[in-house]
Amino acid sequence: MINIEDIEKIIQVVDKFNVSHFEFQQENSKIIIDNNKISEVSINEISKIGTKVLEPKAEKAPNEEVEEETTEKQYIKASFAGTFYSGKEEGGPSFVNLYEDVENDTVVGLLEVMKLFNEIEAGVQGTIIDILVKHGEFVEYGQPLFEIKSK
Amino acid sequence: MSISVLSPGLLTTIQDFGRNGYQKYGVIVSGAMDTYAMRLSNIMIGNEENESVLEITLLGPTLKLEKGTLFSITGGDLSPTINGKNIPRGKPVYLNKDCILKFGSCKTGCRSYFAVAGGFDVPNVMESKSTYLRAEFGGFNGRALQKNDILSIGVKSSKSAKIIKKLEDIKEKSDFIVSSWYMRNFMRQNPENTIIRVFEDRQFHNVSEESINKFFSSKFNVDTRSDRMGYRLAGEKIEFKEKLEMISEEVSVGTIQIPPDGNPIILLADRQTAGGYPKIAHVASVDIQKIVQLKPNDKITFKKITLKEAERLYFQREKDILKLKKSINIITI
Amino acid sequence: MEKSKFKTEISQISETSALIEFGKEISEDINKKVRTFCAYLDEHPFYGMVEYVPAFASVSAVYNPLKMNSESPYEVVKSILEDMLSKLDFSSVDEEHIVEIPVCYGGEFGPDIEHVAEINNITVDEVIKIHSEGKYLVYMIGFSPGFPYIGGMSEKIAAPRRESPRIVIPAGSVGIAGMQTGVYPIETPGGWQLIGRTPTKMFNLDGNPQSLLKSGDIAKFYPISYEEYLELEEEK
Repeated sequence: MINIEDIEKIIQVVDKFNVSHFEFQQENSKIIIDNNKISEVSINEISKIGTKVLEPKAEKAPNEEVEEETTEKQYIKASFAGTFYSGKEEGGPSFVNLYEDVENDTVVGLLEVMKLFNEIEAGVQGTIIDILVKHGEFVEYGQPLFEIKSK
Repeated sequence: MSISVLSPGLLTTIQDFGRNGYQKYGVIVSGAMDTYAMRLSNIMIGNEENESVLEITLLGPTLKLEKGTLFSITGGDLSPTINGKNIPRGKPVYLNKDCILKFGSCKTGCRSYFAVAGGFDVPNVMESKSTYLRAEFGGFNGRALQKNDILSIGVKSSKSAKIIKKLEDIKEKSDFIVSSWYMRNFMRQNPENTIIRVFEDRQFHNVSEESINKFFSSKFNVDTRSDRMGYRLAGEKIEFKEKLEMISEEVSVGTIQIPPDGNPIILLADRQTAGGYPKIAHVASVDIQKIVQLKPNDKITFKKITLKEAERLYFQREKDILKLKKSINIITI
Repeated sequence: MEKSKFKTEISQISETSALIEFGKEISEDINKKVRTFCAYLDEHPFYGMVEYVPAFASVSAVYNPLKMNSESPYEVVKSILEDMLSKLDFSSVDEEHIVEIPVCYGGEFGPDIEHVAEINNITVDEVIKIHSEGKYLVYMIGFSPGFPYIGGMSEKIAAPRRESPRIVIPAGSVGIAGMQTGVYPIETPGGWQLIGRTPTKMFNLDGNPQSLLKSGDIAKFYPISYEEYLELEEEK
């Protein structure tokens, strides 16, 4: 079991040396620290159920202050385990198509669990460059659904 | 004081203990799925235990809370944060300024409860503030929360005011203050196996011996078609000695029915008032909180106890809750 | 008059409820006992009683075990219930309370009425005549607010449930499923064969009482025209 003092030490080291991504696993516990993210997408960050994840602090990491036009590969991920729907009906029109531009709040699909539907929002401004799942497919928490090239 | 809904989450509804006294008119009880977590969330901030709370399912809402709000979060860990900082469950939280409450990944459990000092100022329908989703009444306009909803908060009790005073004495300068004490309200669960204690129900002796053995020795999977009405299980199918002619009979929270396909259904808060399927067993009241915190694909096994034991566990639980209430009274003297 | 050999049984069904069983089948006599007992509970609720829930042949009494002041709260409740049963007069004659329900049969309101006629080898008019001539005892209300479990439908218009249920059945729909008939008070999915619709609200939150029907009532359906339906609907 990783204890809280160890975690604090790890955070200090990661911060001090500007480490952008850090993973540590010991038996059944796993820590992932990732400083390369835009806060809106952080909800969908990788974190399998049953492992420990540290939520990054509200303060931005040094990289994020730079306002560059970076063309980063990003993913829209499943925020819970459920069934993905690309459109409202089987065989009907999809919410988004390949190479379509999306805004932060564009609905790109539906995720369903226990008969409850959640609209999946893009969470970032950009272009859909790959669709990774099929209509009706069961997805795990954190599973990438769309690859998106952000502006 | 009010709360603004910036995003509604997957299924967020106002619930309390539910509607009692109206089942004879076909009005279901509804209410919180995890009444234990609900009661604790209220007790720790000085509310009546039956005060209305938000029941939050899997993916939580984003809420704008005002300065001076006293609240608590219990139940599963849906990663609550205030202005980006993690906040603990099981402790009263007091806000020094307007804040945004957000939820993140569902780490444990399935449902979380958000109680606010003063409760929610929505009309009582048949003596309850619970939401009856299918009939579209109760709670907030008879439905789940939606973006841009504004929830009015009721008047704080004097107990809540005392708790606030205690927290203010801590003289914490940041956005929010939490107590140094907490109430344990959630048992860590193993998704690979949760043991659910049950006692016999009316048609137990009509079940084939083979099925009885399977029922108590095999693992059942929580099916994704589970919801507030009941949890459907997948696994060994349950069969009967002979075909039963059933007429509609009373059911309650925890009744385990066996429909024609043989897959057990555990009835929960939004169950109908009567049922025509055979009933094999009944979940002990104290283990309902375990069931409702399971997610699809979690596994359970059943353990047989007597109704007398279930009753003893029930009393023990009530004694524990009474102790917690007394400890709050002591803290707020 | 009481003829059944079934001895009334009281049992504990959960930590917070006791069951009083008057029989094991759907019968008017048994149901009358259920209603008599419920009427008594209405007048004399026992201390700690939360509510009672009637079914076809039984009643469950839901109570708060903490209020029984005993380590065996069920035993306390059981003796209270036995005491009540010994006092009750089950032979009293029911005052018939008839509730008339207007129904616009067929057309867009009864998409399955032709099917019901066909499988019974009768005409649609005969279906309407038989359905509306019946006197239907309301056994209990359950399943959803104001939904009546009605007995006494003629087997001449019986029809099995639809193979694939409809996702939406409008509120007020009158239907047949097997030997049962009933009215859907709120919009729900369902597999009943729909033969008509009533503009009457089966359940009204602001009404007093809220449920149009209660256990023991006699429901009678009477046919109305489409125009009359619209008029009545406007009035509500």
